[in-house]
Amino acid sequence: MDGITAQAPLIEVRELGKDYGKRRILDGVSLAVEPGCILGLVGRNGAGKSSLLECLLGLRRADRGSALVFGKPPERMDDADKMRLGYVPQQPDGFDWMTIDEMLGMIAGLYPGWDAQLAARLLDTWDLYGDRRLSTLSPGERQQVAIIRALAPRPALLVLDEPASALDPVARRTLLREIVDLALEDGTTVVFSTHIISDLERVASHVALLHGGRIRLHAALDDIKDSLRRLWWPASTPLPETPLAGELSRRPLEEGGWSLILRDADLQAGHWPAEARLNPLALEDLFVELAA
Amino acid sequence: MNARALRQLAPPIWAYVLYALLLAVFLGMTLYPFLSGRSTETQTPWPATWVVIAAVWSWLVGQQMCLTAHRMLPLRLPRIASSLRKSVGLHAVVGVALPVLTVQLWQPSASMLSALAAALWLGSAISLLTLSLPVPLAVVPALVLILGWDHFDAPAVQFVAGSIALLLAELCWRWHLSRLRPGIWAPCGAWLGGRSLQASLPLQTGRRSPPVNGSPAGMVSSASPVPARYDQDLLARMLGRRFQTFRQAYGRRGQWLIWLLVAGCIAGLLALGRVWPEPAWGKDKVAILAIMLMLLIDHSQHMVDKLLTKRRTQWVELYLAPGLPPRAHLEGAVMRQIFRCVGERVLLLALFLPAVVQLSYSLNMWWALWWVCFALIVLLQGVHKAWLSWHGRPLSAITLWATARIAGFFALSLSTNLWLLQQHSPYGPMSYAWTALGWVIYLGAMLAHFRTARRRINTRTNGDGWNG
Repeated sequence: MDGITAQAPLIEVRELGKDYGKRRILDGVSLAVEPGCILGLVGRNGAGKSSLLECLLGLRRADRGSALVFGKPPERMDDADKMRLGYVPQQPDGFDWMTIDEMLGMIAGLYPGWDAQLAARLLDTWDLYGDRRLSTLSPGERQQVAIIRALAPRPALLVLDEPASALDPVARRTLLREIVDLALEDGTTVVFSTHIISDLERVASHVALLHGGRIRLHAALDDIKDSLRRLWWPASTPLPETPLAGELSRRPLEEGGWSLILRDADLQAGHWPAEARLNPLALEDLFVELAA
Repeated sequence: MNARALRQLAPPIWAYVLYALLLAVFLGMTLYPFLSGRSTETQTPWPATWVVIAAVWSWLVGQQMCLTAHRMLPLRLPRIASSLRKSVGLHAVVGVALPVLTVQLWQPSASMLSALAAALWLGSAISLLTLSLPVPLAVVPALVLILGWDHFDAPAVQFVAGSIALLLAELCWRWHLSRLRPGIWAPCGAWLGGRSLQASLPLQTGRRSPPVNGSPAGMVSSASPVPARYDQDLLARMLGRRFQTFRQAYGRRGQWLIWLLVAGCIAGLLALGRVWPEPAWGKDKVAILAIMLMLLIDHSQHMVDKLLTKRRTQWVELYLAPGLPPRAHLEGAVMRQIFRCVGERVLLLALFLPAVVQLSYSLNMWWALWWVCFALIVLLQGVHKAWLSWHGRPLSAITLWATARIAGFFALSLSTNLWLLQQHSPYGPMSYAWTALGWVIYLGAMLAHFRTARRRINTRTNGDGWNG
C-alpha cells in the first residue's frame, strides 16, 4: 500500500454535517479514501451511512462541510468523471417499464468502456434473463441488476450502498469476488456500506465505523486486527476516569467490571490490575464495543 | 381498535382548520338570510354547494384513511375492514352530523334540515366512493353526479344515492382487501395519499460551486473530451414515459397516429354539432368539464413526486450517468422536458375540449381568446408546480400560496367560462372591465408568487454551506 498512499485521495470528506430536522445525522465527518483501497463503511441502522455516501456523491445536500470526488466537488463532476464512477443505491427501484436488456443497453451506450462480457457473465451467473421486465424482478434481483449496471463500466471508483442487503449468500459471494477482481485487475477503489461483518473481513482493506454522526474508527483491517485488543477490567479495582493510553472505548459490563478497547495494548502491559485480562478482538466484537 | 390506531387514520390538523373555515363561511351564508329575517324561505339554499362541502371534507380525510388501510394490507394486519368502518363513521360525524346539529340550533324547518342532511350525506358518500374505487374508475362517480345533477335534486334521491354510493364503497374495499393486486388497481385514495408524501430533498442544482484548485495527478481534467450538447431524448428516456412527448414515447409514426386520432375525434364532434340537436343534459356541466384541463397542473407535479420518491435509480442516473446535462443545467433541462411533455397534452386537450363545448354552446371570439390564455396559464402553473416538487419539501408558506393560487385560478376560470359561454353569470352581474381587472390582479399575484417562491428557495439552498 505504500505506493498507493502517496497518491491523492479519490474521495475526501471534510467536516461534513447533515441534519434531518432537529436530528443531527452527520456531525463533522472527515474521511479520505486512497486509490486502490476497499473501504467498508459500517455503522448501526440509522447511523448515517447512506446519507454520508449520498452527500459525498452530491445526491444529497450537506448542511456543513465539503466533499471532493476525483479532487472536485461532486456537483462539478463532468462526463469524464462520471464515466469513472459506479454507484449502487440502497433501493435500486426505477425503469419499471424496461426489460433488463433494454435498461442495460441504454446505459451501455453511455459508457465507452462498458464490459459487455462481464455484464453477460453476471447475468448468466445470477440467472437473470434479459427479456424480463424490471418491474417483475424481486428486490434481490433488482439489486443484482443494479450491481451489474455499476460494475460493467469497470469504474475507477465504485460506491455501493448496502449492496448485499437483499442478496442470497451465493449471490453475495459472487459480488464480493467481483469486487476483489475489479480491485486487483483494474485497481478500482471501492467504498461499500454494510452490516455484514463477515463480508468486510473477506474483502475490505480498510474499515470505517460511523457512530454518533462521526467516524469513530478508520484504519486498515490488518492494523485493526494486529493492534486492537479488548481489556477486561475487574470491578474490584476502580477504573481511572481519564482514558488509558490508546483507549478507544469503555463500556460497563452487566456482570461487573469494564470492557475497554485499546490500541497497541501489548506495549502498556503492567499498568493494569493483576486480574485484568487482555483478549484478541474479532471485528464483530469491535463493532459491538464501539457502536453499543 | 384503540385510540392510538385510530389516530393513525386521523387527518392532519390543517384539514380540520380548512374544513372549519369552509363550514363557517357556508353556514354563515346559509343562515344569514334566515336569521336576518330577509327570507322566510325554508329550503336549504345551494344544495350542490353542500354536496361539495361534504365531499371536500371526505376528500381531505379519506386519503390518509385509504392510504393507511392500503398499507395495512400487505402487512397482513387483522381487522382492517372494521378499522375503516369506524374511521368512516368518525369522519361522518364531523362531516355530516356536525353541520346538521349546528343548523339545528337555529331551529329551521324540518324540510330545510332534511335537505341539508341529504346533500351532506350524498357529498360525503360520493367522495368516499371515489377514493375507494380503483384509480382508472375513480372519475366515474363525479361524472355521474355532475352530468346527472338534475336527477339528484330531491333530498330523498340524495339519501338513496348516498346510501348506494356507501354500499359500493364497502364492496370496493371488500374487493381491495380480498387479495393483493397490482398498483394500478389500488384505491384512488391510497394513490392520492401516497402522492402527498414528501420526497427526500434533492440537490439544488442551480448553485455555483467554488472553483477547484487543480486536479490531482491521474485525474481526468474538465478539459477532457466531454459532449458539449446533451441528448434531450436520452434525458427523456431516463425520466420515463410519463415525461416523454408522443414522439419520444411512440416514435414519429405513433405521434402522427395519435394526432390523427384526435383530429378525427374533433372532426366527428364538429360534425355531430351540426346534425345533432342541442343536448338536453347539463350545459353548465359541460362548461365545468372543460376547465378540467386544470387536472394537468397536478399531473406534472405528480410526475416529479414519483421520480423523487419511487424511482430513485432514475433520479440517481440523472445526476451520475454521463451524457446527461451537467448538474448546473439539469434542473432547467428537466423543466424544459416537462414543458414539452405537458405542453403537448395541454395543446391536444385545448383543441379537443372546445369541440365538446360547441355541442352545447355557440362559441364566440372572446371565449376563444380566453380559452387560449387559460390553456397557457394551465401550462405555466403545471411547470411551476413541477418545479416546486423538484425542490423537495417546499416551505409551508409557499405551498399554502400555491394552493390558494390554484383555488383562485379555478374560481376565476369557472366564473369567466360560464359567463362568456352563457353571456350572463350565475354568480351575479359581471362586466368585461371587472373580469379583466380580476384576471389582471390574479396574473399579477401569480407572477409575484413565482418570483417569491424562486427567491425563497434559492435563498434556502444557497445558505446551506454546501462545499463552502
